[in-house]
Amino acid sequence: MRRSADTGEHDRLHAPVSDMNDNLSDEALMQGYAGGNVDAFGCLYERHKGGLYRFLLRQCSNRDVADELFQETWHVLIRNAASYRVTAKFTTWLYRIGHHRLIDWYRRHQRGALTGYGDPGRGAGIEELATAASGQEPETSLGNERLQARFIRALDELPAEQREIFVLREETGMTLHEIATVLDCPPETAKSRLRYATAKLRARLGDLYESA
Amino acid sequence: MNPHDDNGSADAGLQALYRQTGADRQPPAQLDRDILQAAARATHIKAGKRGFWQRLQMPVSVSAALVVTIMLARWMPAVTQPDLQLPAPATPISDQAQALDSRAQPAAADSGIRELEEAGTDRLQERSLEDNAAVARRKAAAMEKLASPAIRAAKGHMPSQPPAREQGAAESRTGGPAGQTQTKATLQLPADWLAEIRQLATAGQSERAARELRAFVAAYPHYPVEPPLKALLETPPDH
Repeated sequence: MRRSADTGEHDRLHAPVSDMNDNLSDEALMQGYAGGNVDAFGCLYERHKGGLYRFLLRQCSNRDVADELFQETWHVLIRNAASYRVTAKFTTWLYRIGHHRLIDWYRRHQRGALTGYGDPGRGAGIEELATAASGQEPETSLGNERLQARFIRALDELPAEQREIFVLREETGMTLHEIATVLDCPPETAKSRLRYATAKLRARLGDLYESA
Repeated sequence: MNPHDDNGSADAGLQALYRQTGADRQPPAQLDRDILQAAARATHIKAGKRGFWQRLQMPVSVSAALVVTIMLARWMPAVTQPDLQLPAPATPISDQAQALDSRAQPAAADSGIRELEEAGTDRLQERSLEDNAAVARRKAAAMEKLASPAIRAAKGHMPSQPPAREQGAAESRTGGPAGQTQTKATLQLPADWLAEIRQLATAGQSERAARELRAFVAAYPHYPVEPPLKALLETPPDH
């Protein structure tokens, strides 16, 4: 028993850095990076890159813009790593930065606050997103594509605030409280926006999502 | 908001549809590389970047040490000049010890009587007085040892035999016997003495000033004397 405990301790101490990081929380990893551990950042990036990228992509519907905003978001995080304090969840902080990048981008391009999800002329539009869900049989692929296109169009028709909350919820699994923190709005507002978004999507896709 | 409301809007069908629409989309690999490189660069910059105090720590420490050394070098000769003497007490220390002894003796006598009368009840008081007297005697002996020969001579406890240096200095300054001028020679600070010499020189009494300066230099060979005063030493001694 004693021997196995010693062996476990030995393994833990001599485990590769990346293995050790895998068991750490986001907040601990961020603190590790603030202390100079680049591997911790790598682990953090791997955990959150997909969710953040899709969040930004679904908001601006343009791959180039999403790339730019994604990069800016991580650069802001890197710049402010030294001042990071564990006062909230890391994801809240990360998506808050992303949300602000989005707002800034929309202000710069005078597009109004978070409007226009679908923009076929600007790169990754509905079709691109729909075909991204690949790997299906040719026969079912056509049906799925149609289904996904309808879903994305319905998502696109949502008001930007409602769409943002819906996507945040789906991508991160945050609670409404955390979403409210990210979006700088009262939790009740976040809750009602999500309820409206869900109701609208149900109304438009009622015949589809039940079969999904 | 209660926790149940938090999940109230979840919809499994919508979630499934959402997962089917590009849920596996990832940023381009080039973007990954750029961001990871930027993160690594930022860490290196942070490691190489030294704070304001860290950068100045070494030069400030060296400068401070230098300043302290110079100040010590400048001030130590003045401090170590053996001229500062204790002023003679109004009554000699040995007299104080004797007075304490004389006070202790009646006290001892009294306590003896009381001891006889009260069967030895006040032994502590007697012992403390005796202790006081012994301490005073020891102090007196120590002070006598520390006191300069000049003070001892002035107090008349021993024949006037100052060290040759002090004696020479005193004699050369006053021209009289050392015993008569001891007080001035030993109780005057070298700076005051030099000031006096300077005054004599400016008053035109250069012979006397030169005599005093010679005595000063004999008494304090290492004390710094300004060059104009040193020039007085060139004048031939007055016989």
